[in-house]
Amino acid sequence: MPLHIDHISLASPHIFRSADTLSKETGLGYWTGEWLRDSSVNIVPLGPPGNFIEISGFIDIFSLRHMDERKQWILDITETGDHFNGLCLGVDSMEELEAFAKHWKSTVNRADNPDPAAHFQRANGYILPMASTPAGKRTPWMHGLPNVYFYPDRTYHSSGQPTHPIPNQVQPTGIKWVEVGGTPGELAEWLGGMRYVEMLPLKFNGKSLGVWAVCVGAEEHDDIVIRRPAASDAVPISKYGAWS
Amino acid sequence: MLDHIHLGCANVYTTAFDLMNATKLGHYDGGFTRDIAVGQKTMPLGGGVYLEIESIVDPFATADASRRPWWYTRAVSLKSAVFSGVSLRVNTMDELNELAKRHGGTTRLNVRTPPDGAQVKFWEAPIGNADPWQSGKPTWCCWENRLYAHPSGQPVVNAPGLAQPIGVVWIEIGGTKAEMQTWLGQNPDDLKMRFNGKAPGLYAIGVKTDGGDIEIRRPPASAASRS
Amino acid sequence: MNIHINHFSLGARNAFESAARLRNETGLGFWTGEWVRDISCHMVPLGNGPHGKDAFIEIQCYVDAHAHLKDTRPNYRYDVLSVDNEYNSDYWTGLMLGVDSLSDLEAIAKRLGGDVTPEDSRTNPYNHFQRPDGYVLGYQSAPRYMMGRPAKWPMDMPGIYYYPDVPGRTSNQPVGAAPHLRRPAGVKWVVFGGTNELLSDWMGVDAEKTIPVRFNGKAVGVWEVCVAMADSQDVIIRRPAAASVIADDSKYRRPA
Repeated sequence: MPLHIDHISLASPHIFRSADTLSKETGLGYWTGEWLRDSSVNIVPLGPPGNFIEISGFIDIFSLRHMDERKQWILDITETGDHFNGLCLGVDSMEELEAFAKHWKSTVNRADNPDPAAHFQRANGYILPMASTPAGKRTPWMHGLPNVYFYPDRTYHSSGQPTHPIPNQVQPTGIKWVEVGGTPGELAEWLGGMRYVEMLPLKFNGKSLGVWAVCVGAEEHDDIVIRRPAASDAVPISKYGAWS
Repeated sequence: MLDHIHLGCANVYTTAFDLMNATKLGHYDGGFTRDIAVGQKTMPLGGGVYLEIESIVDPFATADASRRPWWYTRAVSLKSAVFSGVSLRVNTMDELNELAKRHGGTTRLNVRTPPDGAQVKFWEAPIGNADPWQSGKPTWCCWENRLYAHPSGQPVVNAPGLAQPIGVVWIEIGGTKAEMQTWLGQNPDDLKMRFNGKAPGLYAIGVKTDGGDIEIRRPPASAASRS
Repeated sequence: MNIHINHFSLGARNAFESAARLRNETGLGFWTGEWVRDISCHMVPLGNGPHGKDAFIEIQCYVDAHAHLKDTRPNYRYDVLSVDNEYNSDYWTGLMLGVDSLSDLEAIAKRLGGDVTPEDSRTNPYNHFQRPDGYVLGYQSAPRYMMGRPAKWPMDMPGIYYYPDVPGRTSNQPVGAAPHLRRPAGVKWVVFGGTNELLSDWMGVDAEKTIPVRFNGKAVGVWEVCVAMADSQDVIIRRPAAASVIADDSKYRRPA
């Protein structure tokens, strides 16, 4: 696949209540138990070619005794409820990932980092190898901008794991479009070329940067539109200046 | 690369259960295949490879001999589960179409319906008059963009004492390396094949687990092995 | 009246890490997805109860940071978990007993001078254990003290529960598969703080003769749980009792 959407992060003040609400609203199932440091993600598979929404939130509130900028941002954007806080793109090789890292004058979070605490861990003991860029700087999510991922082994991709059964469950058939703020030009400047923007099923609403809605197809069901405000609606991007 | 191995048997439940107890590898309900008379238990082997354990699950089909899969008949007559096929994975449909053409066949969509209803699909080749598996030859498959839901990555049932499979480290094949290389169009060493000089077919696989290496050995189902 | 062990609660800063660590330690599997109010639970069935009523451990952590930050009341469990210990700050936060009928529960509540919580799982699911499949665990417990717990009772005396839906019990749900799971075969014994006299006074029967409990005279609460295993290698789960790190619990009690 060329550059594609991998997943979308939905920051939540209470990941179980949010997952329950989303599943009742849409009929989309989710699975639980994956976590990374102080947060956990409830995963909502969206169908082929392998996309998902991760409903993420704090599950170790004791970590908030030592605050940092990222944790404060998460608290601030979830104060008034769920907000989409991350558009996560995917590539199919380390070479492509490293090209984006170079473009951003950054490095790669390596998939083979031997420290399990650096990776998502699942309830079945599986530790997810996942590489991403940019690394070591403030996350571009706080600026309403996407980052990029590569999975050396797609056979355990989060979008393919089975969900809990939920009432009136529907079978998702894939992302149809994602509504984002800003303009194609702004995103092209970030990604390093309009050709990248054209590879993605995006609609631009000119509002503040970030994700505002996701449309998912479903079997024997109308398209599902999941609308939540972008994180930048709760905390303006201007608070953080330009990403560097 | 190796994608999956087929183990045909008379009773998918007892074969999967017994193999799990013998190897400490878990399995899960794979559902029923395109031919709805066949049911599958899927056993992940690690490293993107899985074992499909299959038998007839429709007793009415057993009465109609023409609907019995060839490997089922062989398993019943040998009174043993049989290794009935090896499938290798290619990344693109272009590669799969090329392989189909080279072997004078076409491609076909393989569909399986697991209990939760979301169908598992891959394309396979070469499809022609003769089934390569019946003469002990591997076939190929392509998952297109569905690798994210590959059977090897799905959770198994929660039996106690299971080991973590890490991958297939060798497979023991009949026939000669030269014959296999001609069929494959690549060096069999790349696929960790060992040759035992017997009639063509799959005889055994070695699987690495976090509890040590294990060997699964069963008679090959392929026709030539009968003589 | 049949009073039995219903479940244990284990407080954790991060229940996800705690459950994985417990599984590595003991081979006991767990399942995820159940939650109540601002708490997520990793459930660990312990096996072998009569009539399918196995005991279980609910490993709990807070998942609503905002609710915590906005709550200015003294929070006993938060303060307990704030104290570091050798188990990543896991603490036993409860021994919960069970009875087989609402009338038994009401009798206990009356004897202890409290009442029974309402069965409002249909109208107030937030206050009950909810699962992703829509199941809401209906249960009632006692004693509920609307006017504050009587001073004679320490903080962590066991709650008593009535779970009418036996097949729907938390302990009857399948655990997630993982390598090297072991099958539990029931609670063998529990080490509880305080004395048999105190717990018997609470239960209204001789505690040692009714449930498999022993006493260490330390702070009231669970200290050790021994689980029999099907492979005969029993496991003992040791964590400190919550009350052991709270010198003075008076600020957590409502005025009587």
